[in-house]
Amino acid sequence: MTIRARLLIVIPLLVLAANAMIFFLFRSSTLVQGGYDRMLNRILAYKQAVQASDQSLQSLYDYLLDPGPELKAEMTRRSDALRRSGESLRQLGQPPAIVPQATGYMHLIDTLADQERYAAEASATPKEALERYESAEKTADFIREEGQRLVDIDLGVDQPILREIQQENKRMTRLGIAVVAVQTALGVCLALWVSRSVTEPVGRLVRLARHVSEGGTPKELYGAQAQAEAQARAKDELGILTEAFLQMIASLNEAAVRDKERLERERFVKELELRALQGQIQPHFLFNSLNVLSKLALLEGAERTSDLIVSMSRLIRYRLRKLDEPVTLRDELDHVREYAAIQQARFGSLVRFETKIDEAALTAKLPALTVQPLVENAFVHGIADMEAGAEIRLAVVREGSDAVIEVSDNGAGMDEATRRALLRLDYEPAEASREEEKRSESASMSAGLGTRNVFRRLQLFTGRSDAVEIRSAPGQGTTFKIRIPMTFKEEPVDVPLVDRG
Amino acid sequence: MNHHRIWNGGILLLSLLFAALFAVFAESVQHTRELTSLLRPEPASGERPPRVALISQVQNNPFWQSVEEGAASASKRFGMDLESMGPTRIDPEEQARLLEKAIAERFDALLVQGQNNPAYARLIDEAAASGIPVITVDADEPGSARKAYVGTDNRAAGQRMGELVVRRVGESGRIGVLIGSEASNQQLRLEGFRSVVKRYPGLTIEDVRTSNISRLQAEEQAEDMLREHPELKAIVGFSALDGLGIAEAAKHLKADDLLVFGFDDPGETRQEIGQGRIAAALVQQSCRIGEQAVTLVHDYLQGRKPAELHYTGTIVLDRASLATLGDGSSAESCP
Repeated sequence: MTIRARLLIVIPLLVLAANAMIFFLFRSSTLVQGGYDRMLNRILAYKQAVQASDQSLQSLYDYLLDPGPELKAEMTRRSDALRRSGESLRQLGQPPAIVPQATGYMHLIDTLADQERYAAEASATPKEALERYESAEKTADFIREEGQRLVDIDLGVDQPILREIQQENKRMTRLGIAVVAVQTALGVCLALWVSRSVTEPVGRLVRLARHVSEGGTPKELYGAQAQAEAQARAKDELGILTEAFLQMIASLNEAAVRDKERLERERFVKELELRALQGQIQPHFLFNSLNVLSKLALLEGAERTSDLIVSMSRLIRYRLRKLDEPVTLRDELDHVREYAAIQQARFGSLVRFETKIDEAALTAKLPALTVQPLVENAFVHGIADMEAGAEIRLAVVREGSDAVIEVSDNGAGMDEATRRALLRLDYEPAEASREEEKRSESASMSAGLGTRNVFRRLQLFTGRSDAVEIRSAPGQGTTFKIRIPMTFKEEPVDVPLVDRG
Repeated sequence: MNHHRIWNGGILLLSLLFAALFAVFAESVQHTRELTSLLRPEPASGERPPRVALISQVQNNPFWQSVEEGAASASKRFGMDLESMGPTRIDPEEQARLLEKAIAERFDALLVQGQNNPAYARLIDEAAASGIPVITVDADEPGSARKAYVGTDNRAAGQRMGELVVRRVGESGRIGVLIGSEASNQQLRLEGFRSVVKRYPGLTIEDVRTSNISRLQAEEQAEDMLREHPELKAIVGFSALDGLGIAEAAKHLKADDLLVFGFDDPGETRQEIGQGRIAAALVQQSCRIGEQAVTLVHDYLQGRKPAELHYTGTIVLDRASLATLGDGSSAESCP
């Protein structure tokens, strides 16, 4: 039930109940009052009839003593008044219990009126008139007697009922007080209930909002959230509000996670750039020197040396590229070849470097210096200790929408722990660099940025966790498998690019 | 959640309490309304049921109360309004006054006791002249314009009493008689009684006195009679309370051999019969008298002319009949 509906039901119901009670009280008091009024009116009417009969009889007597038009008019007036009093009695009506007696009374009045008229008609003969007057007088006596009796009967009939009504009224008043008391209590409870249904969820929302804005501990936040979630299940306005609020928090959290990831990537790229900058001067100097050396070697007729120096210089040039800009697989593979040429010059026939390239996959884009470090790793760690028969294989194939690059050697291989460590996803720059230092000490050779770096970059680049696969066992050689999508989705990177020209 | 339950429960409880109180309140209001409807006058329209007045000889008399009961039950059956009136003590003048008043009140029919009085007969004629049918009960008013008489054949009852006395007393002896009043019914009973006694030369009626249908006066008169005529074999009472009064007097004067004969069945008559203080009582069917009188009124108002005389008969109540009747509350039970 919505809060609005609750209010719309509760308030009119309470008002209705109160009004109904007032109406009932008013109505019953009106009824009782009406009963009293009618009874009083009836009693007055009985008495009035008695009075009218006496007066009409008196005026008849006066007329009979002195028959004249004036007194006759007076007598007629009185007689009419008597008939009217009977008529008014008839109109008032009586309670069922006294209808027979009242009917008799009305008949008495009629009889008297008739007798009076009869007597008046005989006014010419006084003796006859007096006789008739006497019978009218008798009837008037009856009227007096019956009038009193009717009053007594009416009171006798009505009194017990009125007393009972009074008692009922008293009971009703007591009940009314109880009803008002209970109704007030109910009203207060309902008011509290409705207001609680507003203030409680609002309070909870406020707490939750405070937690969110102050960045409270996750535990607190979780508690408040759980309460709010329970609240959200209520189907009122505040439930809906809470639900919306919770959704907002959820999307806020999501956005925060995305933000954190992006920040990490940016920081990572920055770090790489910093490293690159550190090594900037040296490569430039080296690059220039190498050009001079290659020319000199050519002049001195050492063509092979010159070629190697050229390869060397290309290698360096490639490495001076912007690291966050993806390159085509073709460029990366060219670079690998230059590197392999130099390495082969070193190892000679000790190492066999084989490539098997699927041209269709060469357009795929990937971060620069991702395949070369793997090949370098194979040269430096994989087969370094082998006396003969070392083999390094580079294979590129297209698998559906992916390009798959495999770098394998048949060298020392690695144990499971090392393999796991390499694949560890979370990146700790400080630790990584320390490891790198250690490794560079132990391996004596520059291992570039390290394979782990490569993996991390590939994962960030492709956004998938299956980008890198390592198959290896001690003494069984190592195979790195990289999987990159053929189509590269450019993601905006708002890191200011540093020109390292 | 728990809080919620307490709240909901509390509100529900209060609501129920409120509803219950309100229901009681409404019921009370309804009751008041019903009560006031009792006070509301009937609409003064439509056909009024016929009004019948029963003017009894005296109020608070078992015989007349029984007549009234019969009349009331019959008038209820026929949908008529019966109004009973009567003097509080025996008072023929008051009876006449009540009759006059009833005529002035224009009743639709009157049930009166005849008084064997020309003035009273004139009043009955007056009523008949103004279109009010009069039926005499208990005692007739011969020679008046009454439509019918309903009651005991008083002469026959007197004869029956005579036969009853002869059977118990034998064919010789002196007998005292108490009559209730000078009303025609009493006179007729006495007449009937005399007619039987005459047949037996040995039997004489020593004294006749009036008890005024009062137990105390009956006792007084009987005592008086016994003092004056201690040889009396039996005293016969012809009005309702005479038997009891005579029995009391006999007990007082230790006249154990006196045979007491009563009329009707008031108060402890049965008990007295059972104890042998009253030899026998001749009981009129008072309830049936009232009932039949009202039935006649109904017939008359329906346009059927009633026969003039309706005798309701008597029952002899003595030890033997008491045994067969059992100790029922009343011998005369209207069917």
